[in-house]
Amino acid sequence: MHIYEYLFTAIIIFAMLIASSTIVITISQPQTTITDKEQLKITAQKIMTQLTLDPGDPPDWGSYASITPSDLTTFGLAKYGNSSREAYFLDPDKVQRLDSANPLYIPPYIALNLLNLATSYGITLDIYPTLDVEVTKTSPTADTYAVSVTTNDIAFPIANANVSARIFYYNSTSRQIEKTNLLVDQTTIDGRKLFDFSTYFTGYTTELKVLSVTVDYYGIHIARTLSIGTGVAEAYLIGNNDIGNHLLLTQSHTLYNNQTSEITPRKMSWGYLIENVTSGLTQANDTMLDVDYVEPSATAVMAIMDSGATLLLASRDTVLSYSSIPGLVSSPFSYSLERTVTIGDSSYIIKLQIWRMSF
Amino acid sequence: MDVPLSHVIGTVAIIAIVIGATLAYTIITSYAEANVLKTQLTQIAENISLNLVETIALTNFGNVLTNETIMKTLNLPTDLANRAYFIQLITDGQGYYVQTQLVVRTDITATSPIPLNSTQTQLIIVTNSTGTLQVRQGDQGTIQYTPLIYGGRQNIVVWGWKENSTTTWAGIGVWTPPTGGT
Repeated sequence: MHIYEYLFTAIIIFAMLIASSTIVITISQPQTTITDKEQLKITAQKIMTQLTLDPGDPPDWGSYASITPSDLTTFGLAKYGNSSREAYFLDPDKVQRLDSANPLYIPPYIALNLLNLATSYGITLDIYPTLDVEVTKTSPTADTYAVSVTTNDIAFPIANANVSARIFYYNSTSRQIEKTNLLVDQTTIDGRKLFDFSTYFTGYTTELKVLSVTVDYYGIHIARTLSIGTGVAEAYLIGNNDIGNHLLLTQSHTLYNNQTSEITPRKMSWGYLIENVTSGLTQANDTMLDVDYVEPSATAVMAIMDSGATLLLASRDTVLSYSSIPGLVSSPFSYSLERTVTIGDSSYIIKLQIWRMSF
Repeated sequence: MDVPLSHVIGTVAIIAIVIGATLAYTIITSYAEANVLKTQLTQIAENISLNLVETIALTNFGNVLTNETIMKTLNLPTDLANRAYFIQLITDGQGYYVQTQLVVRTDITATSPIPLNSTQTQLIIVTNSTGTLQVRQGDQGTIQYTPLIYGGRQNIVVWGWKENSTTTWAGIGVWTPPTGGT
C-alpha cells in the first residue's frame, strides 16, 4: 500500500464516523423536540390546575390587607369556601392583586417562586371577559353611549345580547349618589346598542359619574362599571366577606359623607336589574377606608371624597395581563392554554402562556 | 519477508483511528441515548406531577366527612429501552419534586416540580414514610404508599386523602385490588 491509500482509508473512516454520528443525532432530535413541546404542555396544564382549582395558602389570602406576598406559602387563585367550593370560580380579591396598580400587588417573581418554577420558566397570564363589552360616548355634549358586544378573538358582533345600563352620579344638592332609570335593550345585528341618558342631565352637569353595564348572552354574564366623568378616581375593594372590607386608594383622599354605594346587578326574567345599596364607611388611614358591609354580589363600590370633588370607584372589572417579563405580549417558544372561569358572577377567560427560560 | 517501516506505521495508525472512531461513535451514541432517555424520564416525571396536582385539587374539593382516599392509576412504561427506572417523591426542604431515575445509570435523572414551593402548607406530600391506605369506595382495595417505586410495577397510583378541613395528604403508591378483583 502506498501512503495515499492509508490516508484515503483514514478519510473514509472519519467520514463514516461523522455521517453515522450525524444520523444518530438527527434521528433522535425530532423525538426530543416533540417531547419538549409535550412537556411544556403538561407543565402548562399543571400550572393552570394549580391557579384555577387551588385557593393557595393561606386559603383566603386575598381578603386580608395584612397578608403580604412574603406571607404566602402556596399560590392559587380559586375562591375558598369553608363549607362548599365550586370548580373554576376565582376569588376577585386574589385576581385584583395581579394588577400592578393595586397597592397589594403580588410581583410575578414571587408567584413563580411559589409555583416552584423559579427561573426555569416564564409565564404570562391574561384575564379578560369572554365577550368584549366596549362603551363609547357618541356625543361630546350629550350623555349618549354606544355599547358594543363582540367576541374577543375576531371581534365578531354579538346580536341579541341583553344589555342593562344605568348611570350613577353624585348630586351635589342632595349630597348623595343618585341614579338614572334603568335602560334595558338588545344589541342589533352589528352588536351595538345606543343608550341615551341625556334627558337625566338636562341643565345639570357633573363629572362625578359612572356607567354600569350588564350584558347577558344566553347565560354568559358580563358586568362592567366604567368611569364616564373626569372626577372619578380609582380604588380597589378587598375582602368582600364578613372578615373585613376595605377600599384601598391609589392616592390620598379625604372621606366626605361616611357612606358607600354598592352596585348590585340582579338576574330577572327580562334581564339584569342594576340597583345600589348603601353601607357605612370610615377612614382607616390616608390610603385605606373600612367598609361596614359589602354585598356579596356587588360589582363595584363607590364613595364620595374630598368634600364632593371626587367620586371613588372600586370596580370588580378584571382585564389584566400579568407577566414575568413586563410588556411581553407573546413569546415565540411558548405554549398557550385557555380556561373559562367565573370571577364574581361574570364569565372570564384565563389564558396562560408558558415558556422555558433555560434549555 | 521484510516489511517496510512505512507500512507498519500506516497499519498501526489505521488501527488507532478505527479504535478512536469506534470510541467516539460509542460516546456520541451514548450521549444521544442519554438525551432521549432523560427526555423520556422528564416526561414521566411531568405526567406524574400533573396527575398528583389534579388529584390534590380533586381531594380538596371533597367533603372531609366522607373520609375517602382518592386515587388515579397511572399508565407508565414498564421500562425505558430495557432499562429499569424508579420514581421518587423528594423535597429539598422548601418544595416538592417528582424525580425519575434509571436504576443502572443514576446520572440520568429528571425532576419535575410540584407547584408548591413550601413544606409549611396545609398539604403534606409523603416523601419519607410508608404505610397502607384503605380505598373504601370505587375500585376498593388498598394503597401501599411509599415515596419510592420502581417504574415496572403494575397499578402505580397517585393518591390524596383529606384528613380534616385543614390537612390534606398526598403521594404515590401501589394499589392492590381487593381479593377477586383485577
